[in-house]
Amino acid sequence: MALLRRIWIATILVNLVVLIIFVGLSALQFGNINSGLVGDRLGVLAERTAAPFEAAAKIGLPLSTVRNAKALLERARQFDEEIINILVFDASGAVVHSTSVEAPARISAEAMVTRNAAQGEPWYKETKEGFLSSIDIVSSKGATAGGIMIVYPRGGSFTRVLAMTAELAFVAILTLALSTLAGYFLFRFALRPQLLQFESIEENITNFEKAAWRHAAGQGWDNSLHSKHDANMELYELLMHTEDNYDTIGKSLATERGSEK
Amino acid sequence: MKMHGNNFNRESFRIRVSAILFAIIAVSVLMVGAGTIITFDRAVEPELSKRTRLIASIAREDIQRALDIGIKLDEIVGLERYLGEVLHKFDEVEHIAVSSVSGEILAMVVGSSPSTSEDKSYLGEVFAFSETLFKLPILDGNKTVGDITIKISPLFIQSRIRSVFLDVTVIALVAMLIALELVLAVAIASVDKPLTRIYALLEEQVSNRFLHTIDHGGGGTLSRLAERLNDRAFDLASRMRGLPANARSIVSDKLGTMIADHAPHKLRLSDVADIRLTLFLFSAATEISTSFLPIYARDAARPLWLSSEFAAAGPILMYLIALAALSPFGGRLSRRFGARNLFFASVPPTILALIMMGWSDSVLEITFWRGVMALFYATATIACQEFAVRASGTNGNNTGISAYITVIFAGVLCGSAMGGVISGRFGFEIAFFSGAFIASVAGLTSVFAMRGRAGDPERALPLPDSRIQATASYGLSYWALVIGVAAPMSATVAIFIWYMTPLMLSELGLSPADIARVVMLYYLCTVVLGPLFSHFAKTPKHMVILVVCGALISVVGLYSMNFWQGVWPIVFSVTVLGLGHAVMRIPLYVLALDAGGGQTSCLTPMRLVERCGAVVGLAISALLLNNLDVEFIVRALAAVVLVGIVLFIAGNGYEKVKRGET
Repeated sequence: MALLRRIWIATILVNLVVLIIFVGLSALQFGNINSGLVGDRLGVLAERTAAPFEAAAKIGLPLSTVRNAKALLERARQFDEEIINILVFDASGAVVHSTSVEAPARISAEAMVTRNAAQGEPWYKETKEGFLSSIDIVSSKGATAGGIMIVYPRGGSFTRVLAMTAELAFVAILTLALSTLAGYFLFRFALRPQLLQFESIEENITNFEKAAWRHAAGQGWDNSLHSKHDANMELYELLMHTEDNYDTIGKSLATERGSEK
Repeated sequence: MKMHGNNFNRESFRIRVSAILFAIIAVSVLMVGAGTIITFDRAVEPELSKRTRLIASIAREDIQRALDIGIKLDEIVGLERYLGEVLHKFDEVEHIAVSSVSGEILAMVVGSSPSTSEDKSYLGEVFAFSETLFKLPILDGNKTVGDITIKISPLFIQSRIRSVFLDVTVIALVAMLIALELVLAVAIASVDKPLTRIYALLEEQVSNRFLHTIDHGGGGTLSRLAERLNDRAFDLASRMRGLPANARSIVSDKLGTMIADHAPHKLRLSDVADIRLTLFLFSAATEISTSFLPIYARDAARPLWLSSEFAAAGPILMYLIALAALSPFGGRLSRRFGARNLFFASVPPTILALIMMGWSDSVLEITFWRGVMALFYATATIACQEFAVRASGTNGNNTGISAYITVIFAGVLCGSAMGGVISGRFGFEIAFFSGAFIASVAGLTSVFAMRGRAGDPERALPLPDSRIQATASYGLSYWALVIGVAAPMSATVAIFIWYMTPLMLSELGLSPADIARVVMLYYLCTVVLGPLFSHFAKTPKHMVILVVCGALISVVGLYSMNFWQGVWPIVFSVTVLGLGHAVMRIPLYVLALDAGGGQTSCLTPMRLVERCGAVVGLAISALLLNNLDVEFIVRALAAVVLVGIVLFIAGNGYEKVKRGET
């Protein structure tokens, strides 16, 4: 029973650790998937918003000269009330139009690095300032004239990831409870011969201890004490044999010590 | 190891406990995995709907603009062409239509119908995806004049869910590999080791040797018995010390006893399983960047003379060169300082290299730190290999090598998958720091796990096996094996798996995540099938057969690329190559040990030739790729493997004839 209890507790602990890792990695992956979906959606809007600016860039006009730019950006913002800011920036990263009155002078360094790494492809990134999604505006010569960047709150994504984690954690706890219960019975039945063998080892040890103190009190070794499951008495005999060896050597040492004195 | 008086079959017990434990955890992971897919499916649906609604709103706004300037809905010129553009721009739109208020369809464009498409996936049948249909009214002033209908292809949603399903499968695989290592560690620590220690000490004491004590872990009666057995050794040693020298020798001679002169030493038993968790964690930590390193290096700042392609390959090349450079010394270092000390000393520089890679801005820095990491990766893994081979000395080297290879590959799988997930969510820097953290856990576990004698320096070790006492001899069969089989195998992995497969799949339009999943199949074959095939490798003859069969299977995998092209043929090739290498890898190492006289030092030339083969092969194929097509290089690679097999068979045959064997 001690062995069964030990294995059972180990099963619960290992299963718990593995499920925590699984839920953790799944939550992270869901965060990635969710970011991808939000990025895709904002990409559609950024592409739509970029069209009139691209038309201006194609005929060689700087992005800052586009008339009613603010209205164009506001119209895009109305597609989603949650959008924090939509801004247009030039090739150097300086913000030329924005829906927000407190627009930064330039897009952040982090956004600039990501934009450079994207090499003209649409990109998105979760940053401290929010979820950023951007698309480049290409001029007539094929060079980049700047880009459109949508700043979106991260709160929604975070809440969705938390909700997902809570749901998965609930499923994991339920599974853990079920597997704990099933594991107990499975071990009990599947390991029956081994558990009996192990019990016989423990029984042999306990019986050897009894036999040893009786032996010390003058009684001979009692072979009947060995475990019934241990048909060939191997462990019991081994313990008796080594105890005899210890006893003999110990007595010899005592004799030698006595003769020395 | 059969011990006197032990009728409890620990090996069978360990296997049974591990199998049941693993089954319980696998079922748990699969249950939570199924729950995850269903939850993911539900959770992504609102976001997908938002995107569809946005597309519909944009299309409606454009039509509305025409109405605002006075054009009637049924008079808009080029409406069908505009709808065609929308359909073309957004892959997921299956059907888009504008109809009048009376229901008459004014314009409609239909893409490929998923209901008739043969591309319907099995997942679509398992998870009933609802059709996503949006209908938005079109207003002219205060009047509804029609509506616009957009239907999103269920195939689009299915493809998203397919990706989710694959992600969850990879995560489940990672969780199960971690579970397997934990399960083995727990099963061994809780039952196997305490019993082994007790029987080992009884074995000593039954022959009147009272030289050692043991750890009294295990709990209950086992701990009590361990205390008792320890006390015998302590008591006799202290009483012996109290006697003069002549009396001591009288007792020793009369009874034939061996009693510790001072305090008895702890009996330090080694098991191959000791290094499993440590090596697994270390391997996972160092491979955390596998999935994103080329992208990370490509995007980092680089000197003008360095192309982005070369920048992406730079860290891999440096890694291989550093590994090759350290190969001749790793084994010697391990024997000189001990596997335990060498492994432990390798951990801090590895942690530093991982952290510095995360902080690096330029490709040169990344390459430098990758090289540093490769050096200490080599020392740490060679230390583990030496430990495994020594620990399994009396059981046959098959067990040690099999465990070593399986664990390394399991670590690679786990590390690269975890790295992909973590970097996707938190960025590359955090992924590297996670690797550094896992490496430090590996260092800590090594302190406890590698305490056995197999971790000691060579001068402190007894020679437990007659094979170990033999001098290392590198006969013709050894070199035929190393040059004919090991080097081509290593070159095939570097050229085909690391270099060409990502290149070919990328050209076919697969995402990095999908490419990683295909490459993962190769490693999965080794992790799952390697230990299975190693059971057939009982005699040298069986091993030779397995090596030849494995090499031939890998040739089939490579040649298959000539007959069909596309994604699935590459997947097939990678899998068959994985299968072939799974068949041959473990017997190959055991044969090398046997052919080299059984000394672990005989693995040194093999490591060097293997890694040089990989570097040279990679460099040649990278150069040839500018002028020759991929198929030619793969054919040439298969031919090299075939020539290698012939060389190996000839070398082996010659050696047998020389020894007079039939």
